[in-house]
Amino acid sequence: MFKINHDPIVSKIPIISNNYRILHFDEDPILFTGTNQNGAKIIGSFVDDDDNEQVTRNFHVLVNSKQYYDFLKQRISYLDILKECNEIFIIDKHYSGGPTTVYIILFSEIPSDYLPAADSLCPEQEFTHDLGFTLSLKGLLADLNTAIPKRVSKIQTVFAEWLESTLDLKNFNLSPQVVLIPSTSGSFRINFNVKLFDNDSQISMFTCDDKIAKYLNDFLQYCFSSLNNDIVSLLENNFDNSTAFKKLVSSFEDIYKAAQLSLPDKMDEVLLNELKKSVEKVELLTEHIGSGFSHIDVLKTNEFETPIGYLDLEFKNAIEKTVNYIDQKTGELTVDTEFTEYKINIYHLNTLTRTGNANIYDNEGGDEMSKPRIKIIGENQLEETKFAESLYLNKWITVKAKATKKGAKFQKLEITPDY
Amino acid sequence: MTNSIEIPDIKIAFCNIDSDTQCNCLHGAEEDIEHIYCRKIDTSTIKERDFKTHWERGKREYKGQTISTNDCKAVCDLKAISTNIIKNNEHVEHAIKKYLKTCSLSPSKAKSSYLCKFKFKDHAGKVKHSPELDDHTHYNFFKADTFSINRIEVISINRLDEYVQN
Repeated sequence: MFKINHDPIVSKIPIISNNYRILHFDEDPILFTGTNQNGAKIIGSFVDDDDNEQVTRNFHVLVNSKQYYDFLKQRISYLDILKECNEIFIIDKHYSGGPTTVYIILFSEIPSDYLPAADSLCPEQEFTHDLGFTLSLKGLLADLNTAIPKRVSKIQTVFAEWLESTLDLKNFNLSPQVVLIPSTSGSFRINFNVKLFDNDSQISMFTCDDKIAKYLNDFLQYCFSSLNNDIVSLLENNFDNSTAFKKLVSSFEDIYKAAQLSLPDKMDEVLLNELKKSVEKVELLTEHIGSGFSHIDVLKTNEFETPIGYLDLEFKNAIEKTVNYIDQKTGELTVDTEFTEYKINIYHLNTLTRTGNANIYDNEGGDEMSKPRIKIIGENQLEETKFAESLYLNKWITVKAKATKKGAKFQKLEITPDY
Repeated sequence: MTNSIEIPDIKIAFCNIDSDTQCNCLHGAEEDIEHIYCRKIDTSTIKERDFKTHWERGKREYKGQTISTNDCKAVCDLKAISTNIIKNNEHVEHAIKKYLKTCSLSPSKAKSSYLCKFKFKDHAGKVKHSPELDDHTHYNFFKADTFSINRIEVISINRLDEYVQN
């Protein structure tokens, strides 16, 4: 084993005390994960063992949600994780399970012979599938175990409706019902479970439950991980370009095969329609990211709380672009090519993200109003501007914006602050 | 009068496995001198240390936890040698993929960078199918008390990196 030029430290921070899970096993746990006593995520690996000293040596690194999600999704390698974390804990444990010695070293101090390979991606994991999910709001207020009730209520409703509508399967007479499970301690968490009620006694749900659970899990994962990348190809009916989409089609087909029902015609297009219906719900789910919480971890509530989605501002922007792209491609959306004058009344504004909502009459002199989302471009402070005035004094103001409209209704206003 | 010598049945003994545990590790295990198995070893020739169990080395930790003697799954796995059965090309690919993944994550394990394909000779011991979540061809091999590497019939030993496609 390589020599360590540091004194040991006394710390429980790098010790896995809960949720221990092996990601790769080969006579020893080679790659594993878990959480420490504070709930922080740890990824660990086998380094070496010494029969003379009777010691097993492991690396442990503390990772955040994004690193953990990206690693499990094989977007970054274990080498990348060690580099990014930079501070690596060395855990020397006696064979008998006796004393543990902890050291901390920097990435640069790891001998090259002990560095994982550049292609050290997380092995593909086999999961058991069930119908339980958790949305965990993280960052900002959420880390203080608080949240704005209206926003949490919206997230609960949108996610529950999305789960139910995803299981509205053709030729099945399912009545999926999403229930809330009591939340647990930690950063703000909302737990869901889907109950399936079979209205058609001729189809035994016993043969289908696991297939339905797998499909739902795959569907959500696809929306969070792959849809934004695949949307251009999918709307051109190029269904074979995406491995992830083909896997989803296969899960979808498995439900019908298990129930011994004939497959719907043109499965690819059926699934694409389901995705198009879902994408606006996903956008709604991300609406308040950046205000009260910085991101949402979407987890399967199985034994290990496996992440299936990491929704941050970057994802929010990407899903908005996907929604706009779909609307434009389907001819439903029109966008101003130049900044145009509009009269608006702002009723919601997040000065940090510069986004919010406003009232605007669909037509001048008319009665009908839209409530589009607004985004004020630029970086200057918004306090003590006319935008803040409109919000706090309930004032109608004139702005210049590029409007996105669906038919007669305003969907979005991209406002320039320089007017 | 005929002189006939009765040759007694030789039953292989597993006192080393059965001692110091109440667990019946050999339940469901059988001798198998027919199939080919594989294992990662350190060098191009097999040595006794390539077939030394975790238990013999003094390890009493199993999957991150210090074991209790009542945890028979843990005790029996520590008293066994890990091996993978090879019945077809798919099995070979699976084993190689597993070993290469190990080497990429933990380079010190690349010290055992040879793949040994072998058969057990009679009285070597018994094997038991012990699949893991992502390793369905995994078998535990329980050594007989009289085991030595002379009870192993080597089919081939190749460097793992020979199996890496360019």
